[in-house]
Formats: sequence, structure tokens, C-alpha cells
Amino acid sequence: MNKQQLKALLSVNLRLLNPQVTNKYRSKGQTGRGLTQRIIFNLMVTTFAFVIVYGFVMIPIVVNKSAALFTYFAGIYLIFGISQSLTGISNVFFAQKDLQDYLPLPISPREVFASKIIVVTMNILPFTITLLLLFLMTSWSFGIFLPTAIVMSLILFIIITVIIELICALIIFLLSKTRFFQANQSLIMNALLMITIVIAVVGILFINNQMDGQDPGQLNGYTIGILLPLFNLFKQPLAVGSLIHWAILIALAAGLILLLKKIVISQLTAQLINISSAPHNQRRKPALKSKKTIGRSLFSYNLKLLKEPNLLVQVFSSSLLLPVIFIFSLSFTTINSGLGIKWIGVFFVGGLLLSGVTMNQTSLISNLISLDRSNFDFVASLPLSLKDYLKNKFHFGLLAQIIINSILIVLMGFMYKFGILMTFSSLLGSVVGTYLIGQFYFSRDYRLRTTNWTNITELFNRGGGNLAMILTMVIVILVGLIIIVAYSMIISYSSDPWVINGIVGLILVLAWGVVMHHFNRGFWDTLN
Amino acid sequence: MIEITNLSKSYGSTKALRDLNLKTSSGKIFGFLGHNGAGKSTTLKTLVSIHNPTSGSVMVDGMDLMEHRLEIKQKIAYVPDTPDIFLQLSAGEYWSFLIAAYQLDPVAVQSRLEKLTSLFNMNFHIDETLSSFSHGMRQKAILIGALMVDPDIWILDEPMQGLDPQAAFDLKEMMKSHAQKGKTVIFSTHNLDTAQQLCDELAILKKGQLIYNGPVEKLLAEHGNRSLEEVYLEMAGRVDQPIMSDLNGEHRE
Repeated sequence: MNKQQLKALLSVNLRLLNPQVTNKYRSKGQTGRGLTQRIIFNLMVTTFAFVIVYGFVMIPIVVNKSAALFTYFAGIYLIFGISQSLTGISNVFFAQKDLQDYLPLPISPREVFASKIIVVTMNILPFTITLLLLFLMTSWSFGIFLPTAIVMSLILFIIITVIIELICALIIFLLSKTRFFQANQSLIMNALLMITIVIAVVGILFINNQMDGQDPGQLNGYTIGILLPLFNLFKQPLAVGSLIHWAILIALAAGLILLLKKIVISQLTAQLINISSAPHNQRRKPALKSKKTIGRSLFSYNLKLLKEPNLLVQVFSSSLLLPVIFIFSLSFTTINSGLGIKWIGVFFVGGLLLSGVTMNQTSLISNLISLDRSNFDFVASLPLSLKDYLKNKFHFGLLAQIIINSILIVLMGFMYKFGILMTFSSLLGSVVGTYLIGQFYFSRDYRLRTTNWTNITELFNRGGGNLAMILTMVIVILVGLIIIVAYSMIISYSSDPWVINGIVGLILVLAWGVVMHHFNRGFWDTLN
Repeated sequence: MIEITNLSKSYGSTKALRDLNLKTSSGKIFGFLGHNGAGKSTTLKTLVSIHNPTSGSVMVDGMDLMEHRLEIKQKIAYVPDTPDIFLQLSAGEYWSFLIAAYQLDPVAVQSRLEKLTSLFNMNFHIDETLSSFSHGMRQKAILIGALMVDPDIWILDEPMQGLDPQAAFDLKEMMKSHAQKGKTVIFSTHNLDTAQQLCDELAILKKGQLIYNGPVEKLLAEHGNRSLEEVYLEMAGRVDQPIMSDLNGEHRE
């Protein structure tokens, strides 16, 4: 391994990873090694924030020494880790589109791969660190001597991370060897990651559903069998079974490293050249299709913007996966099915608040204007009303977000047996919430619009970046839970729940009016 | 010396290069001419390992490109046809990265880098990102990187594009000086004056096929000493000229 090249590649990849953060530090005068250190520091701060948030969540593990709770969390975090690794590998290796730039340079693929996988690891650390925390808390709960517990948890965490990342890397790189992938790279990456996200969401809902009616704190609660050996590594660290499982994990990690060396790294250059030599579009005569209305033309144009590699994945993972993980890992909820019609308001507000969790700076509606890139400035030169153009864009993004939220609500309604009426009420609430919150994120995109971006993550990181997104999500979930719990209690104990529902309805109508007035005056009316 | 033998390259069913045979020797400036899509960039990208040939071989100083990629890359500095690479890096970071990639001693390169940044008026832009530069400034930053590394072979894909007249002049002088030192310069261009001015040897490509290879003087002499533009358009130009008059007619209506 050439250290000079590896260090240079690492600093390049760290800058590419999050250009917005990089530029923020640049504007503060950071350059060279200082800039690299600031970027690493920023990643560490995000990781630390996750440690704090999840540290509290895992306190019950220490108290209960519960295998059920351990496997529940381990299951969720492993699914999350796999999903994040796939996204991270796809982002760092493919979406940055810099791999071909190294081809003419005298750098071996080993260094390029190593630098990129290190950056992937650093980037997903805030999401995988939860596993380390889980191991640490569990080992501590069994009274293992603290330094030993730290070393043991760290080694297990490294082995599990290596296994997850290398399996993901193998899947992606083996896929990328096929001709079909080379011709449809972004389509396949999106499809693969969408499948992972769907598996993750369904998996988490399934795990949660299995625990329905059981107290996860109990020692005999539902456990995920395949993950039980991990728990036993801490419970009986010196038992023969545990030692065998250590050996299996180490062998698996070593085997994957060898496999990766043999079938990925050694052929990386040839593979990249093949990708860069993929067939170009075939020549054909320009044909003007039947006359389209401007609305239809803009709709199909906006649809084409979604072809940006990784966009859909990021949108779905942040709109579906993150909220699902947060909602289910921060609360164990069982909903009494067969609720009366008086609860309709609670579910409406629930749907509305859920849209606050699923919508953030990475949502489609929050980036749709910037996705235009330089087209946006060009459109401004056309004889089109900018307001109409953006209205069309807003409605497109709104529709996409409503579809995502509806899928989530229907899934939740199905898993928790909301009943048709309550599911419908939640759906309506979510449509209203999506419309109102969408106004905020859409006008934010206009305000912070970036049309010269090179990597889609630049758009996602405008403003406060990952940390702000997660903190907002946690705050919205906590505030939302307080509102829902308070509303539910009032409905339960009130002698006339319809008066309460009426008051809430009135507040919502007023809020709607205020929000609409604000955005009409402050945004839409300023456009022309 | 670079020797290209029966080089063909296809993108799906489109043949970008057909049985190209060429030899370049040290101490010479070798220019590629051709319309858009003629195969100039494909040839250069194959030489620098961005593309794999569909068939044929490339030998550099007696080494097969397919077997000795790293060693050959160490001998080549490449400037791509579009300077939109490593946009998130500052100019200084990009040059430092190249120094590490070519495993050079930063102290040894420092004085050459200073001269180049000064020559191209880039010394006040070292800490600015390539993404913030105009096309011409990006081109200068990428050129400085290639010229700073200074290996035996420069492969420059339309290097004058976007450069101001002063920078273009300076680059041409540097290309001549590199060749005079016994090294090789290979470049592509659409500028026929530049080609005539610089090239010791010329290769004209049309639809992936080599239609001329030899000195400029010989080409002009073979065509009654007409201008290079006339000769080039006659050889590589469009056959179906009526399109232009049709189009003009349509406009007049």
C-alpha cells in the first residue's frame, strides 16, 4: 500500500464526500491538512450526537439484560447498517463519478478502493455506531470488566462492520460487472437500494409486529434466533459456543477480505475501463412528438429529473427508512384496535405530524428546484411565468411525497390494525401536513438554491446537514408524541370528545390560514 | 515511442475506431484532426487507459499497455477534453494530489509549479475550488497539473479550448520546448492554424478511420499547396453539402 497516495486519496475523497461542509470550512479559511482535520472532526461530532441520542434509548438493556431487547435492537441496527452501507458504497464509489478520473493516473486500484472504503466507513459511522453502543451496553450489563468490555465490543463491532460492508461491496461490484449494469448503472443502483429500503422497512415493521403484545424488557420475550449468538458472546464470553461463534465471525470476515481482493480489487481497473467504455446512445433522427401542453411537458421533465443516480434512494431512505427506524426504536407502541370514531381527530393529527417526520431537507420537494441545475436560469429566460413553472414543480413534488407518506401510513395501518376509518383519517392528515410542510421546504430550496452542484449530497447538506436533520427529526418525534399522548388523554377522559375535536379542528384551520398567508405573501407572490 | 496496431473500438454497434495504425516518435509533436465523433478523443482515451480497445494493441516504449498500465501511466500526463474533474478540490489541492499520485517530491516540484502558476496567472487562485473557476481557468489548472508533473509524454485533448490568447501562446511554446527536449507531445485540436503551426506529424481521422498520417508539409504539397482548411474539409468534410443550402432556403421563407 502506497501511503503517500492513500493519504492524498483520502483527503480528496473526504472533500468529495460532503462538498457543502467542505466549502463551509473553506470559506472560514481552512485549507490543506487543516481542512481535512475539520471534515473528520465534523464527522466525529455527528457520530457523537448519535451516541448521545441512542445512549438513552439503550438504558433499558442495561437494566433488563434482555435477549429479546438485544436482538430487537441488533436486528434493526443491522438492517440499518446494511442499508446505509449500500447507500454509502453507491454514493462514494459510483455517484461521485470520480473513479474514471483516476484511470489515467499512476495509482493502483488497491489504493483507490482502500481510500473509498475507509471514507464509506467514516461516513456511515453515525449510523453503525449504534451497534457498538449496543455491544458496549450489553457487555457492561453483564458486569464484564470495563476495559475488557470496551475491547471486546470494539473488536466485535469492527468484525460486524467489515462483514456488512464487504458483503455490500461484493454485491455491488459483482453486479457492476454485468453488461446490463454498465448500460443501466443508475437504474440498477436505484433499484437495488430501493429493494434494500423496502426490505428494511418491512423487516423493521415485521420485527415490531412480532413483539406486539409482548414486553420486550422481559427475559423471555420474542428473540431473533440468528442474532442470539451475538448476545451470548457477552452473556457467556468464555463458553465453548461463544468461542466457536467468535471463530466463525473472524473466519467469515477474513474470507470476505480474500474474496474481495480476488474478484473485486484485482479487476477494478479493467472493470472501470469497461464502464467508461459502455455503449453511447445510438444515433436517431429528431422527431417532434404530438403537441404537449406546457403542464404535461413540465411534468415529464420533472419526472426525468428523478433519474439522477441516488436521488430516489436518498429520498426514500430519508423519508421512509430513517423515520421508521426512529419511530420504532424510540417507542414500543401497541394500538388498541377497534377504536371509536371519536379518535378520528387524533389519527388526523398523527398523520399530519408523521408528514413532519418524513419530510426533511433530503425530500424530493426540498430539492426539486435545485435539481434543475443551470436549466433553472435558462427557464427564467423563457417566455414562461416563473410562478406557474414553480407551482407545477411544487405540485409534482407534493404528489411524490404524498405517495411516499401514504405508503408508510397504509403499512402502519396494516401492521397496527388501525381500521379503515382511522387509516383514512391519518392519510388525510398526512396530505394536509405534506402540503403545509412542503411549502416550507420548497421555498427553502428556492432560497438556498444551488444550481452548480456536482454531487446530489451537496443539496442534502445545505443548511445544517445530517446533524440538523436528525435533531429536527428527534424533536418532531418527541413533540409529536407529547401532542398525541396529550390529545389522546383528553379524548379518553373528556365527557364530550367532539368539542375537543372541534377545537383542534378550529386550531388546524387557523394554522392552515396563517401558514398559507405566510407563504403566499413571502414566497409565491414575490416570484413574478 | 508509441505504436498503435490495428486499434479498433466499438461502443455497442457504433464503431468509433477502425483498424488504426500509427507510430509516434520521441521529440515530435503529433496532432490529431477530425470532426466531432471522428475518433480523436477515443484514441487519446485509449492511450491513457480510460477506454479499453475492442481489438488491436498499444505499445509504449516497448511495453504492452494492457499488461503494464501503471508503468505506462507514470510516463504520461493527460489533459482531458473537458476540464470538469475534481471540481470540489482547490487548485492547490488538485496539484498536491497529482504530486502524490505520481509519487513526486513536493520540494522538487515546487519551483516548477510556481513558474507555471505565475505564467498562467493562477498564483492568486490557488485556494479557490475548481468548481468556482470559469472554463478557461479550469483548463489552466488542469494544464498546470499536467505540465508540472512533466513526464515523457504529454497527451492533451483539445488543450487550447477556453484559453486566452496569451495562455494559448505560452502553452504552444511549452509544447515545442517539451518536444525539443526529446519528449513526446500528442494533442487533438479543431484549430487548423494551431495544427499547421505546431505539428511535426498529423493524423486525420474520419468516422473512426485514419485518412492521412504524415507531415503537414507533405499533405499540403500533395494538394497543390492550398490552405490546410481547404485540404482538410475536402478530405474530412461533409459530402452532402445541399443540406446547408436547404437550411438557408428554409430560413428565407
